[in-house]
Amino acid sequence: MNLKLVTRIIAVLACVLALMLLFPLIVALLYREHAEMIALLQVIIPTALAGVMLLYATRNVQRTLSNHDGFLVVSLAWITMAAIGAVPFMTSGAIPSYTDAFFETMSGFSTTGASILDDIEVLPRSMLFWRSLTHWLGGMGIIVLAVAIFPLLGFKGLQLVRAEAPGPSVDKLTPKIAKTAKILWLIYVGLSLLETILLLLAGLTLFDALTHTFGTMATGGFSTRNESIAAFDSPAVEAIITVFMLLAGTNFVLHFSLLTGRLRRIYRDTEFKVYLGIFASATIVTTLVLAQTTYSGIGESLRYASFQVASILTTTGYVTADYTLWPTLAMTTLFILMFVGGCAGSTGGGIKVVRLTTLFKQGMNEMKYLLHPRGVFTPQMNRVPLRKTMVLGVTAFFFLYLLLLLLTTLVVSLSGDSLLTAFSTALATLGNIGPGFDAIGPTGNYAGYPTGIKWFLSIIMMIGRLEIFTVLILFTPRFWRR
Amino acid sequence: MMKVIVLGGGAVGSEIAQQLIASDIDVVVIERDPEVARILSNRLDCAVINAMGNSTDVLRKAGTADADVFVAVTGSDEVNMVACGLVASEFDVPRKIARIRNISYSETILTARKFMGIDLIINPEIEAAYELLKSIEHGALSDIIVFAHSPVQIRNLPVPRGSQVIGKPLKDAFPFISEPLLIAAIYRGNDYVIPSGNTVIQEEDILYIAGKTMDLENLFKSFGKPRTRLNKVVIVGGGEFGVLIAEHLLRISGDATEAKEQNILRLVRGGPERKNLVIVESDNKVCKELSRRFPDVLVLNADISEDELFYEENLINADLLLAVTDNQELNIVTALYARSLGIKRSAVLVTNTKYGAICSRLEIDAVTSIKQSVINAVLRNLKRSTARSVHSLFEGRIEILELKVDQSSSVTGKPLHALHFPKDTLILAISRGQEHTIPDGNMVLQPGDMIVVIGRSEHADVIQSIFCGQL
Repeated sequence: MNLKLVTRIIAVLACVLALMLLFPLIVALLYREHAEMIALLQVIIPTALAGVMLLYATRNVQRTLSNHDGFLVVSLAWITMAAIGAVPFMTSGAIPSYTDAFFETMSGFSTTGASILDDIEVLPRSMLFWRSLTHWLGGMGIIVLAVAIFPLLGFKGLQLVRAEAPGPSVDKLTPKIAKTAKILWLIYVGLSLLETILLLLAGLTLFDALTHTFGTMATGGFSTRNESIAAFDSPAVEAIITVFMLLAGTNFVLHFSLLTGRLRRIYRDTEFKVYLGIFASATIVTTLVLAQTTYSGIGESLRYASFQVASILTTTGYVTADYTLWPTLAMTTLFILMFVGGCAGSTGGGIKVVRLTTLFKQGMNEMKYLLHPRGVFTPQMNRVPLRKTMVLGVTAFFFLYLLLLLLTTLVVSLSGDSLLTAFSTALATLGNIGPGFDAIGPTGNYAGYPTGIKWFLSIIMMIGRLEIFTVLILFTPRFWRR
Repeated sequence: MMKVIVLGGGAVGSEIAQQLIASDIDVVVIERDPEVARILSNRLDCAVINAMGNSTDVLRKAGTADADVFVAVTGSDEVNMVACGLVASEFDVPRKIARIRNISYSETILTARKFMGIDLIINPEIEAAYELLKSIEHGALSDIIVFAHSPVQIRNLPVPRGSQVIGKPLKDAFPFISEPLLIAAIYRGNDYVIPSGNTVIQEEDILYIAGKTMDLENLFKSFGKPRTRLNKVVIVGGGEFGVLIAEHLLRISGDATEAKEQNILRLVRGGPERKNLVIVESDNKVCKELSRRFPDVLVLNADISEDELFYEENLINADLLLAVTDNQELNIVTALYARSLGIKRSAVLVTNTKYGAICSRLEIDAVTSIKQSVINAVLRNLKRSTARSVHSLFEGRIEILELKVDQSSSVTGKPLHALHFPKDTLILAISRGQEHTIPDGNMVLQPGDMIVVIGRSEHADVIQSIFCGQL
């Protein structure tokens, strides 16, 4: 194990983090929040110093990173980031308990959007900004960012990107991973800029527009308002956010195809079609149910239904209505969507559409085999045969996901909450969604859980964001065997 | 005299050589294997050089410098291409022909642009597949010969045992058919007869009948072979040949027939009818590849001779079974078994041309021979010819030519019965503008007429000079 190189990479990330903490510092300057400025500087300076020193100390390190080390680096990096990122919340007094601060930060980086805050609006602006920025950094992946900005760091980033990127496989847009990472981030930044501008046009302040763009593009869900998006009560804002949630939940490779004019690639993409199909059908069902019960008229029902469906499907977790008061059929629809998630290569979490599609095709294929015992069939996705190794990988992922879901439910039920609370907590944290049902519904939060469960859920959120294998592999004895 | 160098003395090469020698062409065969070379030089009346073909020295020794045509037909695509490239760069041979198997049919059409100095690519498998497909297109009732410019076809019809036409002369044999049809040739025993009106039909004869599509279909119907829809097709053998057939069948049912046949049923169903294809292949790896390439086709990994397969996978309700494995005997037996189970039509691929006639007598509807296809390809492309299309029958002993009557020809202006042709020559069809007729003796030819004429191979040049003036 190349521990020196691992240290070096963590040091690089610490420097990146210190750099990023300058943004809330600017906000603190603008809003003259002196206490927060000092709290932020108290974190930035030591972090930057330690990072630079470690970089200097490890300057002559051997620069080959094994697959093995990649997993360790990514997991360590995420824990380090959350650990450092939580400090300003505590020292500024915004979130006094370190447990809560760590939970909130990990929830931010993992784009979950689960909060322990009862009253969000009392937080200083700089802290709210940092809270939302963690989303944006975690959405595309801070390691992908590091690989994109510092291609000359001297380590090959492919293993790291692979360990951090969402979805069963990384589509290389270009032969060089650094360039691919750069393109992904450019698309991410471009879409974020576009959304910010649109939200400004829709009447939001720059602060609200930026923070909510961070929450949308990362499919995170942190808002600066207690009532989430409902606070603005603006159909225009909701429409913009709905569209951008869906865009953020789409494979970024498709955005790249769109920009380079390869429309056929989009048209042929099975996952994208299934994704849109799920969104459309869930919206229709929910709209029809709501039109007959909760709201008057199809228009209003469509407004709330489409927003909520997009929010849960893409694992964002913004709310415009308390869906726990909706009729059971509408509620169940959202509940089922919690199992789906975004597309591979998007910022969305969850099981991901591509995996479900793969499993479905494999299921259909098994039936063909039963019908024709001598038959030979090759299920295809995007007109390319599904490799057996991929199908098996997806099956294993699915199983481990369910196992973790049940384990988390078991752990959470130690708190004594209802079964639905416990299960939806597991779903919402492992799937990086945020809000769930019952006690953690749109009006509730995670503040009530005991300390131990909060730490456990923090780790679960990270496991969910890093697609299970990357973290779980560290718990296998084989990983530590020499 | 014309001189041809044939590289490769395998089944294809020796067949080509034999054909050319029969037409009085100077042939030199280059063959690598000493044993094969020895047998060839004993069997064929030509020079055989035992050496590797892709060497300038060997090519020079073979007399490539003054050859008219260079034909590379070894088993290896690469050797053929390199040899043609060598000839193109070192010698001045007007025509270079290469057998390249690993190229799909659509691509061979693109060879107007010269590739490695090759003027023409022949691919026996593709030629054979094309012939079989033509037969399937017409319902797989029989073998079929179609022409480039005339709507007339030639089909073979084995005379059914105990049929009422046996023992009757041709002119009286088909009183129930009013449409003009012409018996072009009769295969009898192991020989052929170019018939006249008085030729008496015997048992076991195979009639080669020229006529228009609809008239031929009516004739087959009266012999108990109505044209049926071929919706479910089973292909036995997933090799190169089977893949070619599957590819074309899927394409045909996908778009080509869409424009042709637009009945109400199809409109109601909202789309072209998909052919229900089944491929049976014994090699597991090949099966995987097939299932990947044809996601809509049911690919079965099984040996066709296994007992229960036809029932287990419900193959007995198929409309057509194509047996196209590498094993010709297995193909024939499989096709016969399929017919006995009630599968409506069957077609087979054979390597030996002589098996063709046997198959026709054995209730196998269409027979395609790769060797025959090679002969056709060579005849069409190698001999200097004014014919628009050339086909051959009976191992190349008979040729069917499509010719345009030239102004300088002496045949115009006289009724057909007053003309003198070489023995066994028969005009099967005349096309004049949009009018197409099956001629009788009183027809008078005009310049510009397109005719289909059948005759002996050795007379092919004479026949051409009669109709087209001097070559």
